[in-house]
Formats: sequence, structure tokens, C-alpha cells
Amino acid sequence: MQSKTRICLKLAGSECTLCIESSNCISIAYALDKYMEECGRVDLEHIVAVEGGRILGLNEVLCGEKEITVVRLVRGG
Amino acid sequence: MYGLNGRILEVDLTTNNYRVVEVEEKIYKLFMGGRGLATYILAKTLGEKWRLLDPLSPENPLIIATGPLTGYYPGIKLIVSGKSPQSNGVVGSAISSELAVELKAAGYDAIVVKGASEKPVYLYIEDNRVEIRDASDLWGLRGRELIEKLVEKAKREHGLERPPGHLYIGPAGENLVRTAAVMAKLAHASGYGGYGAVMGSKKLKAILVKGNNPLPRIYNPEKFIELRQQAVKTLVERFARFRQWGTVSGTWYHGYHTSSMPIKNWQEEWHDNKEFSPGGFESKTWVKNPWADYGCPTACMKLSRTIAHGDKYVTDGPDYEMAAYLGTNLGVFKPEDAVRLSAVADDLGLCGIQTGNVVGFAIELYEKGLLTKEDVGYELKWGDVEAIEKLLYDIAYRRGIGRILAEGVYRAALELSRVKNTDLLKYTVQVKGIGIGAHGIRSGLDYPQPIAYACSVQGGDHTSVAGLPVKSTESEAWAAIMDSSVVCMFNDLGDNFILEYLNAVTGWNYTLDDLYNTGRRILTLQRILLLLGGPDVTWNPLEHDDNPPRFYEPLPTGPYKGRATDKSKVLELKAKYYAELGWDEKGVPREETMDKLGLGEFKNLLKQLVQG
Repeated sequence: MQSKTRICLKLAGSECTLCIESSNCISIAYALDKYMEECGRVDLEHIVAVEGGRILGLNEVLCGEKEITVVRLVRGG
Repeated sequence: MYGLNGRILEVDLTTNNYRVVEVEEKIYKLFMGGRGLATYILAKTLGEKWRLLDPLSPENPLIIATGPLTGYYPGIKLIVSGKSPQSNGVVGSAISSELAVELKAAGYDAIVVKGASEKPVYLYIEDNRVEIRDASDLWGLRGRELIEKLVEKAKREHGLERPPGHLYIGPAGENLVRTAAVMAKLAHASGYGGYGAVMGSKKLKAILVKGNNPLPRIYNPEKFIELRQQAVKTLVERFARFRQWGTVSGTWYHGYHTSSMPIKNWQEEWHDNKEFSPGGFESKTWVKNPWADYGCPTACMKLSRTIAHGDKYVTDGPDYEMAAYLGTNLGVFKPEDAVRLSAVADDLGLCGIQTGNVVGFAIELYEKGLLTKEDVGYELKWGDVEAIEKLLYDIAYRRGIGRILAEGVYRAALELSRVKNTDLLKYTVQVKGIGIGAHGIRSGLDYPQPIAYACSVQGGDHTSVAGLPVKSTESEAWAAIMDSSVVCMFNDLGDNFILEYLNAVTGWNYTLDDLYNTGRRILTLQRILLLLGGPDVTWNPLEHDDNPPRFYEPLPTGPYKGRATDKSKVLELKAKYYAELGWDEKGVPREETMDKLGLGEFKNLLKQLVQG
């Protein structure tokens, strides 16, 4: 039986934390997309997901319970 | 020492001499390079007389500084600094120029230009050869013409096939305009701080550097190669859309979605003009995409061209800031018009942000009847490209009303308030003399936090915003680290990655705490110098650590109509921010904080500040 996936995302300095739950594994692209939708203030192409200091690729898939830091790469312009 | 030369080139234009100054590694470990190193040099050599130091006097040095990651990390930013003629503090003003890598390959980590020449000169540096050369034939030239001459000179006088890494000023810098930028490659500008005027005050038209040596050795070459490959791969993959559209994507993203783009001197922050969007610029003005500097895989720049009245106008992107400040902030909503004004500002050597800010201020005053045709000599209207172009020239050459506006928005407002006998400061959108970058805070949807500008040690600089938590990439400590390492903010891959990279290059074995403490150290020293200020302007934290009045007015249009910055939230965040930095309730660094950060030798400056 597949275990439940729960991924929580938080951007430093933002009050918005988003937790996504699913019975399946979740792709980083999907999680970041959802974060952007819910929390605003960030543009998908300008952020990355970081877990334990490692930048996660958009195509990576996470399963189980994870805490993800959203890091903004592009500020300004 | 790894990753650094440990040498600074000091050139004195008054005595026509130069010398090489050795720098101990412990200084780099405390301040890294770039903005941090410049702040250290300024505090150490001029801190005691900071309040009396006129930024446009020969005593104020112009500092050009690289960092430990220059030449190793993708991108080629360098930092221009000195006492700022805008804020009277220290601004680390970033610019892309191949000069960064050339300088390091020539054997120097930084150039400190002291004194002032009596006649126009340019600096030519090739490894150990340092020449202060006559620039009488270059003085007065605008950007495009100057670059053509530099190409010719490089071939004829220096035997080079193409011009070496360079920095220069246009007429605005020559005329000591406080919104003048130090320029490179036609359209790159170090605008924040007003260092074009500092360079002009030294009669220094250009700096050319050619380095023929290998870069300094690396502590861990194998790890470096692995990280470099990872950086390039991630930037190429992750920023495909950024490469396609560049920062000009902000014209729609910030103009329409986040409602945080300056429109008509920030009276509004939202537009739905579909033509003023990345697609509009691509179809109307782009002639080259992408355009990049040496070794940059992100390649966010574009080259734009337009023709008006038979004249050709060429600029980059324009990037979002130029499109905003020389576009929507002036009521200009046609891509080709924004390109035209951006090209004019570049050619004159004006910072598009600071100049677009003061021009927006002037047009609003005209709209309100507070400036008249008699004052200006012609009508000023939103979107009137002909009049705006004329005003840019008047500012650069300090003609008519341009004489006052050339002082930058803060000082111009003080002077016009005096002349008109009414408070005009309330119409300025600046913090501590520096016009705010094109990212508003009222909608709460763009990246700057409510204290972003109010508490920044670089005033309205959108590339150095204050933010919480301090130990995060959202903070100004992080901006100071980026500007001191020196890494382009568009190639930032997060704190852990930069930390690993820095350790691989330097062997410093920094922890993340060490890294952020370096950022805190730089900010703390910058803060002291900013509050010392002088001689013509000083800042009172209780009054000036705040947003411009306009940011407390509700947004009048768009989906976030009615939203405004909450003053009580600003006060709450400000208190939290100062406490996190170890500053007192007024934002004055505490003595114990200075001890903790290894800034003990600068306590005399703190004493000056506290004693008033």
C-alpha cells in the first residue's frame, strides 16, 4: 500500500506556508506551481525548491513527508 | 591566499602616481570583496572625517572592486563605490563589465582612484603597466561615439584587436549630475549611488583594463569544476524563459499581475496595456536575443533598436527597470518610445532609474501646476516623448530646470520647495536620497517587504532591500554577500550553493553563519556611515527610516485598488529587523554587536554617531 505524501513549502520572509497532501508522489513543478497560485509574491520561473541545501529539479518527484524551502532566485530586474 | 590577488591598485590623479597596496587575507575573510571591501576601505581611511567629506571632492575615492568569486562564478559583475553623492553613505553599485575579469587577470582585486586630475584623463591598465593618459579628445563624447573612439584607440595605441574591459562616463558624469551612472558597453550602468558624478569630479573619462595573467589559484579545483558545471547546467535549464524574455517580462508581470510597477510618478502601479509587454518589445524593438556578457549562461539581455525622425536609438532590453522608469513612470506606453528614451539616457550616461524618478516627479509637479512653462521653458506632459527627451538633455548638461533636477529627486525637491515656498518632498518617491527601484510594496505581491526600502542601507535600491529573516536570501545581508562575493543577482542559486562555491574557491571553510555574519558586518558598517552622512545632508532614523508618503496612499486602480502600506506593520517589522541585526530601537548598531562582528576598530565612528 502506498503511503500518503505531504509536502510543506515555505518561502523565507513570507507568512504563507502551503502543505499539499496526496495519496501519490508529487512533482516539484506541481508543488511550486501550487505555491505560486496560493501565495503570490513569486514567479514560478524565478524560484527553486531546496531540501537540505540541495536544489531540487523541476522534474523530481517527492514522496512521504517533506519540508521544502522555496528560494527566490530573481529579485528585481 | 586562494581566489584573490591580495593586491589593490591605488591611483592618485592629483599627483599622477600609483602604487600597489597588499591586503591581508583576514580583511577579505571579514569583508570578502566588492561592496564589503569598499565599505571597509572607506571606513578605515575616511571614517573619522566622513561627515565633512564632500562626495564630489577629490578626497572621495572612486572604488572599483571585484570579489573572490569574480571570474569563477558565471557572470561578470563588479562593484563601483565611494561616498555616494545621493545618500552620503556607501552604496555598492553593481555593473556588468568584462573589466571585472580583466582586472583580476591583471593582478588586482580592486582599483581605488584618489584625487582629481586638472585635465581630462583616462586610465589604461595592462598587468603591471599603469598609465594615466590624456583624454581631451574623449571629453564631451556621448556613449556610442565614445565607444567607437575607444575601439580605435585600443587598436592604434594599445595594439589590441578589440577594446579591453572598460568603464566610462557620459556628459552627465562630466557635468557632476547626481543621477549620472558609471557606464559600460553602451547600455550597462552602475546607477545607484551617483558614481558617474564622482568619476566626473576626478576628470576621469574612462578606465580600460587588460589582464594577461591567469586568475588566482583555486583552493579545490576538482570541487570547483563540479560546482561550476552544476551552476551552468542549472542556470541554463532553470532560466530558459528568463533567457527568452529577460527582465522585460516584468513590464507585464509587475505591471498587470502584481500591480507594483511605477506609473506616472507612482500615482498608480497597474496597467493593462498589452502592447507594453515582453511580446510588444519583441515585435517592435528587439534586434538581438539573447545578448550576454562574458561567461554568463543566463543571458537575460536583449538588444533593441528604434528609429525616430531619422535617428537610430540602440539600447539593451531595455531591462524592466528602464522600461518602467523611462516608460510607464513617465506615462510612456509604447515600447519603441521607452527604447528611445532608454537609449538617450544610456548615451548621456544617466542612470535611467534615478533620472526617470526625478523626471516623473517634475511632470507630476507640472500636472499639479506646481511647476510652470515659465519654470521649465516648455510644456511637460505624461507620455510626451519629445519633451522628455529634451529634459534628459537639459539634466545631463545642467541647462535651465535641468540644473535643479540634476541634483537628484531629493535635493531637487528641497530646492524647489524653497523656491516655491511649499513642501514638495511629499511628491518624491525616494528613501534617503535614492529613488526607489521599480518594485512597489503596496499590493504586497512583489518581492520587497514593507521595510524593504525604509530600512535599506542603500535607500531606494531595489537590488539591496531590507527583509526578514536576516539569515535568509530575502534579506539585505544576502544582497551584501552577493555584492561582495561578487555574484550577479540573476545567477543566484541560493545560500548553500554560494557557500559551497565560495569555500571551494577560497578554502575559507565558512559556515552558513559565517557567511551571514559577513553580510551583517557589511550592513552594520554601511549603516554607521550612512547615519554619519554629511556634509550637506544627514538622516534622522526616526524620520527617514520610512517609506515615501505615496506608499501609504491607497492604490487608485487595478485589481488591488485600495491596498496601501500599513504603517503599523512597517513599525512592527522595523523593530523586529533592528533587533535581529543587533541595532537599537533607532537602528543604531549596538556596541556589543560591533564587538561580536569584529568591528571593534570602528567604535570611534559609532561614538561620533551617538554623540551627535
